[in-house]
Amino acid sequence: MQTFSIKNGEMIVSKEPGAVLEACSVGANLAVCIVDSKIPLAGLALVVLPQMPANMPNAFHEAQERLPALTAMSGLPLFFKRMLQEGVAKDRMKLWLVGASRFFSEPADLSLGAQTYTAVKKILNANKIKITAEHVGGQFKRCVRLVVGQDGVRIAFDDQEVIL
Amino acid sequence: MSDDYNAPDFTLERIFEKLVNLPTFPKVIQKALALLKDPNSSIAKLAELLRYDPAITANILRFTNSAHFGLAQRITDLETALTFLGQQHITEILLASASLPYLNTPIAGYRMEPRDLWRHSIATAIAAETLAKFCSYPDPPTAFTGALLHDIGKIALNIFVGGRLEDIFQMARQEKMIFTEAEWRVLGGDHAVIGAEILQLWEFPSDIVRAVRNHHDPDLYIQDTLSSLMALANILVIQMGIGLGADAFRYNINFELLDRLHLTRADLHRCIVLILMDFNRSQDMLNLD
Repeated sequence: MQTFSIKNGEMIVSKEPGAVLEACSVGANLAVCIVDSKIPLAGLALVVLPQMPANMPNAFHEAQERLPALTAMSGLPLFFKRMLQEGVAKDRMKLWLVGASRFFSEPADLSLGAQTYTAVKKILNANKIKITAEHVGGQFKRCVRLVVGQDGVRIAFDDQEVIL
Repeated sequence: MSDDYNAPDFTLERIFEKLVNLPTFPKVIQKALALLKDPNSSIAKLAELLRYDPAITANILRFTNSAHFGLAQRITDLETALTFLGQQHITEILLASASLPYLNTPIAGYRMEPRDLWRHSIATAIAAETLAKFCSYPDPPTAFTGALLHDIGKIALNIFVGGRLEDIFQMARQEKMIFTEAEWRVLGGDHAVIGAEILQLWEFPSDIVRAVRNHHDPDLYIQDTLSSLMALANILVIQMGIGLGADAFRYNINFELLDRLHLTRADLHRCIVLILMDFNRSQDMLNLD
């Protein structure tokens, strides 16, 4: 079976039963994981920032093209659009948030995970999309994995593993 | 796991004694870096020095002919390649070539796979250089060099006290302790102190040695710009999840750090985008032998 390794700012949507979508070393990024509970369809987007900084030079446009899930504000709508195009139904959709690790103490301007998490939640609330479960915060190095056609996400952290 | 967490056994002293047995940082690289900084030197002299090292020559030619530059015609001559690349790219390739044997190693006690430390170090170097330019720091290549080697102490710990790293990890996890504090409790020192000692043995400049020593200590790194830049670079790369070890988030951040560097939240977000793009490019180009 194919394994898709998703890196910062990338998103993958797959309908191939058994295909693995995984993001290792999630850090303060936020992995948004979606599956359709009835048909083999799953997606994973690894969001890095809440939104694109203002006064963008050309490099930022290039970044947005290459890394479609770079920001919550522009990446999530695109991710949902792709999932809908592939056939996900809102009432069958399950969504998990994983990541947003933080240092023991960090100033608000450096709380990247919290900033991204807040932005993602705002978008989900505005679109009335429920979070099935989440595994966020803490000082963890997390890896998240989902399999197309299977319910739940598997999270490895600190020599432990949980399934949500 | 050991029961005597609170009894440092002066392991650090024994590690220091053993550091002289580490393979030294290649002299040819140190000479090349000195030539690059010497205004009276020339590309011809640099080519003369490097041409006898086949691995470095191969890496420089491969980098020059990579898709990144999109050259219509392939460059096969070292001196032409060096002229084309310029000082900054040459420095980066030299350091990356020399560091790979050290950094491309699994470090079980820190839960790092092969290439994790390599990726983390390259990303931190790129981040430090990006931040240095953004902050108008006068010497971005020095920030790059120091950041590339900032975790070199982890390698020494892995070699000399690999078995005790598990105790450190378990102590930090169970007691929710700052990781370097756990290192001090178990070893009587931390990977930053040991890293600084190695770089001093390798005769790196004192400002780099100091910044490596300070990079996890919020009270120390705030005191000079290079240390602040390296600490922030490391923080951002950890947040981006690049090559993380088990210690990744188990630290405090000095709340004055951004003010020290005159950076805003928006500046940080801009830098993160630039770092990520440059890091992705580097993965294509610096896939060194």
